[in-house]
Amino acid sequence: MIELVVLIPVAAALLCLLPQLRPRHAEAIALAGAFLSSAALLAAALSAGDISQNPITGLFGMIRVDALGLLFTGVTSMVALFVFAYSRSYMQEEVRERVFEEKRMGAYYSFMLFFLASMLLVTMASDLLTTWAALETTTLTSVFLISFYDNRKSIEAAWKYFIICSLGITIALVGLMILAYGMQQAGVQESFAWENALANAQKINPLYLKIAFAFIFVGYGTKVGLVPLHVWLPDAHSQAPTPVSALLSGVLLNAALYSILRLYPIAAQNPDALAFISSLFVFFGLVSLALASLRLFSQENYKRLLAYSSVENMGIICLGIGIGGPLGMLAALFHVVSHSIIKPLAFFMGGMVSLLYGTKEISKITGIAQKMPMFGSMFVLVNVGITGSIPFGTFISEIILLAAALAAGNYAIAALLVIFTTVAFGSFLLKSSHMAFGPFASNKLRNFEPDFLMKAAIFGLFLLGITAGLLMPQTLIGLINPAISVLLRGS
Amino acid sequence: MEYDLGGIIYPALQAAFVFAIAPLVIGIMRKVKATFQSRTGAPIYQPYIDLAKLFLKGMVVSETSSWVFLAAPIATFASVAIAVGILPIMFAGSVLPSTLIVFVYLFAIGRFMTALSALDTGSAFGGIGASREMLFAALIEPVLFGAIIFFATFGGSVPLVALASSPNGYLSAIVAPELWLAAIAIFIAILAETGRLPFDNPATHLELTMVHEAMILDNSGPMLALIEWANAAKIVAFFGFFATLLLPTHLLISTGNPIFLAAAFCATIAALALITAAIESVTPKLRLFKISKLLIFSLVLSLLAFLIRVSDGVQSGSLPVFLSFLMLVTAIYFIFSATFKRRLEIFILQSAALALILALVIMDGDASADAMWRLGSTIVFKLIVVPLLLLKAFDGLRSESKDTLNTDPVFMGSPVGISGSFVLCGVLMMLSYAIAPILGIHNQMLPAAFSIILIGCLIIATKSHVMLQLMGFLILENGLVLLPTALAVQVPIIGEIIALFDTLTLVAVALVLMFKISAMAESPYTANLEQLREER
Repeated sequence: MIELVVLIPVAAALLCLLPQLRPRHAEAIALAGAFLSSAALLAAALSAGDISQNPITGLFGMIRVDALGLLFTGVTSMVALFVFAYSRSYMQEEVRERVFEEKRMGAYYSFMLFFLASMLLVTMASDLLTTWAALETTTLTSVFLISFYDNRKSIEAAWKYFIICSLGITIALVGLMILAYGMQQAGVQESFAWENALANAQKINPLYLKIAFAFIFVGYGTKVGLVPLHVWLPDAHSQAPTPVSALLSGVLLNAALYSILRLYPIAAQNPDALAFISSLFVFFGLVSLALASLRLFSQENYKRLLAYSSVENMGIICLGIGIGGPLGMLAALFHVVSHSIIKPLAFFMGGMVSLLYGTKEISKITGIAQKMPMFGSMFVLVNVGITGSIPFGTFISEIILLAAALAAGNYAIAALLVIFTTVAFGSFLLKSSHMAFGPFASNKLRNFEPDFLMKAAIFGLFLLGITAGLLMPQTLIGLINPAISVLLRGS
Repeated sequence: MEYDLGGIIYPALQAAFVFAIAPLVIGIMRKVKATFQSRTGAPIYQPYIDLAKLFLKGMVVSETSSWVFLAAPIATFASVAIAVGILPIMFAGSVLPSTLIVFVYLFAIGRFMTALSALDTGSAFGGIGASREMLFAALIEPVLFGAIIFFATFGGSVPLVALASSPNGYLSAIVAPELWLAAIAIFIAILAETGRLPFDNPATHLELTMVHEAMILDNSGPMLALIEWANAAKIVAFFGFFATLLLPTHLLISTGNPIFLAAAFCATIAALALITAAIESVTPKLRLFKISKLLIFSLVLSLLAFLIRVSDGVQSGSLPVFLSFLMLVTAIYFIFSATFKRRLEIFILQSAALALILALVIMDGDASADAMWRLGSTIVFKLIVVPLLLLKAFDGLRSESKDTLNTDPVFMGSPVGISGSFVLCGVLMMLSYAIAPILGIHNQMLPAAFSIILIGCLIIATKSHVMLQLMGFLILENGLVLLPTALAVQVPIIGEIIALFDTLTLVAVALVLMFKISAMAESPYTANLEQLREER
């Protein structure tokens, strides 16, 4: 059953490649594929019983889903569903505006489905090499999605993304080889299987653990978007079509982070190695948070603004992992979930606004709230919610992170966290209120009416965000707790 | 026979002998070059006749020149005579680094005086020759010094003999990569120091291409004879230097009979002269920019030889290790080469070396499934499929945009030029040699694999043509395939298969992107793609 989660999108992608397929049919197939994949995941999760004792396995042992994997896979699947719903109306409008030709829609949906399948495989893989290969596949499938507009800027963004991310993933492979070497020195067979590695982690020389983890952190960290390896991120996320940006920001960064997190329990068995990798996480998390939040103010393109905010949020998550312990991990994983809800939501709303106004420049967009009061206020709320304000889940995760930092005695980190998130909050408040309020010229608007699915996607994510943040955070915490215990196993 | 530096007899005898056979060596080299050019050429004793003729002629001395002009040829001759005397090229003994330093810098005295005399005449060509000669000197000296440091690590004994004392005897000495690297580096330096092609054409008539000849353009008569003779002796001295340190065939004949030693020495020198003349006949004279880069390349090679020497690697004398260093040298040479075809050939050479290493390791007993798969996939894909794909893409590119990949990347907006890239190569190699011992591994293949990976990253970062970045990535992949062999790690075969398909897809994606870029911008140089830079 669990194999269907990956196989259905692959089958749908292959169907979309058929030459005689009409674009409308491609949309329907894509939507159906995403929906069925999520349904399969839900069914498998519900029928599996207690995952902490009995992880779900499948596909000849290539798939192994434990609590941590289920959390990330669930987030991926859910966000993908909303993205596919949104992208139908968005792409139809772009076709209508003659930005794309209609016959490219088949290729678009096919790439999207392959991309989705590879991201699902990353979080469901059973051994480290499969994770690596799946992450490499995500790079290859998303390159042409980023360059989809086929203009100079998007091709440049796609090339940068391709080269830098492939390079990073190759460096991560060097780290995996060193880890395998360390395990073979300790007499372990089958060194790439995760369970095997975890069981024998005590025997490995901590020096190998540290060096291997450093390589893997730098390598996969390139894909997560940690400073200073983040240079591809603003370009790629801003030049891609909006649904693709939502997937990249909301899901792909998580998948890359998951690949690093998979090694955390292995390295955490050794207190020496644990101190080293925690300091890696804290350092790069702080630097990403600092640099990105300072960069936010000078951005003029709305999607680039959101891209830098993704870097900042990844920094916050890494900071949480670095602080460690149950509280830090809870903050990090809660932030993963709430960021994945709110960032695609922000991209959706921004995309809709850009379709209406015909531009992505912040200075040219004003007066959203004049025409659409409810949408305008939602817009401002979501934008400040990204940086961690009520009523969204990001507020709770940042509060927990602050508490974790103070509990661990890291007053400097707590202070820096507060400063930089405030700076980010200020930038976002400024820019979103400029966009939402202010004078409004009706002759500048295009004639665009979002269809039911787009509105459902936006409202659905909005409600989900408020639920997670305001109404039922405890439920979410309850869902996250098994994942935390996977991470903290043994230490 | 122990060599006594205090005595004067043996150095004088040695110097006399070298000066006696030097014109013959020049004659042999000219004869070989003539044969390559399908002409009969002058007889090999012709230089003797030329020297005699010059000694009998009168001199023309410019009135504007000073005593320097007359003193320089004598100083050159004297310094060469002393240098030829002090090096134990015919008599066995220890080769101290101090002796080598004096040897190198005695020739520097001669070069200095010749340059001064060239400037003294006040002619423009003298100035050109002098400045170029000094440029070469500035670049040759580090290489020779690298060689001296390399020899210093052997503690005074001859490298070949010292390496042959390891368990495998002469077999491991022959495939010791540090010996080959030092030999290539020193040979390039010798070609540069003695003014042979590709650095300087001794037979050129065009003043603008002369380097050494331009400096001695105004000399005539006996002074010119002294200079020519000293030059010939310099060539023999450097050949003797090379022979003594790297292939002391004349020392391997263990009779003490000086006649036999002299004969063996002559044979070695003649062989080296043949090889040099053959190389000269097939190499063009390099442009001035390229000469400096070639010399820095040889500096990197001597640095690598030194690194191999001082690391604690134990098995430095086996064929797989030799091949892995061949891979590393091809990766470094990739930076230097200019045309696409040459770069593709280098890549194929590297992949062939990789396939050979994998085959040797399998034959050594490690016949696991993933090793066989790695060998098969390397042969099929890296040696056949990928070069074909790249060739087709390059042809397609050339027909579209007249792009030949032949321009010097310095002019294409890349952040570092070739020389800077070489310096960075040296830094990266030192880095890998620093990391490898931390892992506690005593196999020389591991630093080589790390270096190849890092140099692949360097190529990607410094080249701005999309095709070159792709080839840099493929070089990185080669290093990555070498890594499990160097670490002796078993990789599950499923992982290998997936990795191969990932590589193929990567190449395909990169090529498609390249065509898109070249359609958008005028040509596939990523230096043109700067739309998304942040304004400061």
